[in-house]
Amino acid sequence: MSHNHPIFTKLDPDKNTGPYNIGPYKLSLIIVLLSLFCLLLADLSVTTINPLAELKRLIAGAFSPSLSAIDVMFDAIGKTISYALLAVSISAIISFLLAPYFNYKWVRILCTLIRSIHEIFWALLLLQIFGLHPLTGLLAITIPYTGVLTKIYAEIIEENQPALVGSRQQPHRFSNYFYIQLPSAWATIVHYTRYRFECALRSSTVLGFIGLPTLGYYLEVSLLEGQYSNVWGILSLLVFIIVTMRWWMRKTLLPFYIIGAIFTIGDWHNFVISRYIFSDMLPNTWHDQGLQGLIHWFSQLALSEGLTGIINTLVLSQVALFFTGLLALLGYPLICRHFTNYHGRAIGTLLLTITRSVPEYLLALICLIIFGPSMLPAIIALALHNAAIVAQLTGVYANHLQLNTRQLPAVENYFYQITPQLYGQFLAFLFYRWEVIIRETAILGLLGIYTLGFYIDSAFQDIRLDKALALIILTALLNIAIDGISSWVRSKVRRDSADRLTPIM
Amino acid sequence: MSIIELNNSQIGHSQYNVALRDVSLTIYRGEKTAILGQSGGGKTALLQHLFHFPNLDQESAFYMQQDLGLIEQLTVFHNVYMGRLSQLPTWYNLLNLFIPQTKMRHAILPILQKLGIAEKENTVVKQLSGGQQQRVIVARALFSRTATLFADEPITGLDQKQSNDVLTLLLNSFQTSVIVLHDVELALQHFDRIIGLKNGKVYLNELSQNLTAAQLHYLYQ
Repeated sequence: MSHNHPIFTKLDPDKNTGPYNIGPYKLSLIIVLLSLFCLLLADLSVTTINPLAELKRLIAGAFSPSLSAIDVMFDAIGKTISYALLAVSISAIISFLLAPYFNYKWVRILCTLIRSIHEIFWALLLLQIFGLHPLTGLLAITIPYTGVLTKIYAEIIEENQPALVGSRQQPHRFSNYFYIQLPSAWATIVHYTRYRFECALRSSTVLGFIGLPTLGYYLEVSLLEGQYSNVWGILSLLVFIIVTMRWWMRKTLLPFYIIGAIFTIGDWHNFVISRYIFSDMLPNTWHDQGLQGLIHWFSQLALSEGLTGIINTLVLSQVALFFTGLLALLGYPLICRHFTNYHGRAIGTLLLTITRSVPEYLLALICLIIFGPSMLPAIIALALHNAAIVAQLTGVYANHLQLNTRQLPAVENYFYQITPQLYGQFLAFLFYRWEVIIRETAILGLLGIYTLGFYIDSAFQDIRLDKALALIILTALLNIAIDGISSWVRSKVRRDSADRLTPIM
Repeated sequence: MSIIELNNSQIGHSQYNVALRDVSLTIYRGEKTAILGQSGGGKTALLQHLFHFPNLDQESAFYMQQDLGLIEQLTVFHNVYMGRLSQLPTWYNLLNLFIPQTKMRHAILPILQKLGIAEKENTVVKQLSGGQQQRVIVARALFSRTATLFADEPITGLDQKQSNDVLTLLLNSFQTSVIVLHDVELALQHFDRIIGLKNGKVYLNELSQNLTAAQLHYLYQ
């Protein structure tokens, strides 16, 4: 199996297996039953009067994409790339330094905490502190990405333990790290960091939706004004930037890009922090009644808006997870050599890349305009975006499978040979996305769906910083819990998939 | 004076997986010892056991392993520099990683010259041939400036002339050497003492002046 792909490194034959083993098929049955139950609870109504007409206008726009406003957007393109580039660079450097300490509990907890808060929530929070200063967007991406990169770097390095240097005394851990571990893991780290940069381009675009001067700003304006030609124009531009990344993102050019980014990102002066900002982050009850008041206030909040938000978040993400899995299973043959020829795979890869290049937040907004506010837009957006990613991973994995039997007809091949072999791995990929789906579900509340994000956004709009912060922390706690469950489930599935794929010699 | 003494030691990975039984031998300071024997006969296990001998802590020692232990992504300079990674301060190691210091380059370059790979100083090890990589690991051992060398077949992949030169260089650069070899003639020619392994035991342990090639060839039958 290839180790080139970033995700494969996470899913190698298991090291810590417990006494239980759920088995992939029983697990799937649980997911399907849970999803059907959630589907009954979910609000899937179409509330627009004529969704088809809007859909037609949207599709029509796709055939006449326009970049008429390109001159005003140059600045936004520059800023979109600059935010992403600087944020990932800073995250990468901090993560290099933190990764050797990942075995310390406090580093692991810190990383889990900062990456469990979505970049949009960070941005909303930082907007209150720094306003539209470049630091807001920069930190909003840098903070959660540092949490992710540190974890992944540590995992990659752990799996690349090369031979020793020859002396009896171990070199200092830093020397060891920089001379031995880091160089050995370098290729995988670069590969993964590139992938994160692609994600950061999406994140930075989406920050435009909450007012930062990136491409998302123009996307939102065009969408809300119904100028679909412009929407498709900007979207094609974003996809173009991402798809062509392998040609313009060069090691030798990177220093120039970084220097350029520092100047394009915006005006670094005018740095003002409101004096009241930190006292506003705690509720009045804290100022009046101290810790007891704070606990009482927090539990009240958690049980009212928090609980509704959590239930809606879980329901929505469960349904989205189900459709993600279904679409991914249907989609992986697009890029699999056992089903498609060379040209077909090229088209399939392009299709999946384009689908995943569109930020899910934007997809959700588009669906919202077509179908009106309910859970439906969010489900469609999450399922499409994440299915493209899982299908890509599963397809690449399927390409590495060696078949022992002769070629079967396509349908038999799909159901009897390929899919059973990759099913455990597929589930591991799906659960890896589960955490991401929940994080994104919370965010989609900003579009008016009653998930946690909705209440957070309302709190910000009411200038109730204390409430917003408390709900963000609640969201983070939910994500941490999901993170724990997900890695537990993955370890169960992985064990089974490892058994399945490596017959006992 | 002895630096290592084994008395009836069992050598292997665990008590159920013993490579050599009842090993009793002494390694003397200043002596050049060769270990001979068939493949899979426990030579590497013995060498590693000697290298990890507890009392060796007072002596500085370097271990050259068969699979080299090179970091392919780093340059020749850095790979050689790593021979002293645990002796030099951490900040200095990091400095040299990004900006190789003149002092260190002056120390490393003559070693590379002796081995005929001076022009490869700034080449990434991945791009070198097998023989060149072998000489990089020799350079690392020489740069380590330790008193004792433990080497597992350090001349694999080198031609006869190079083998001779490299072996001479190694033996002259370390006060004490214990080297696993395949070549009976080279062992007789260069070493003071020869330890021969056969059938999971130390079959012979003798000064090489008292040995003949025929006796040693018996080890491989």
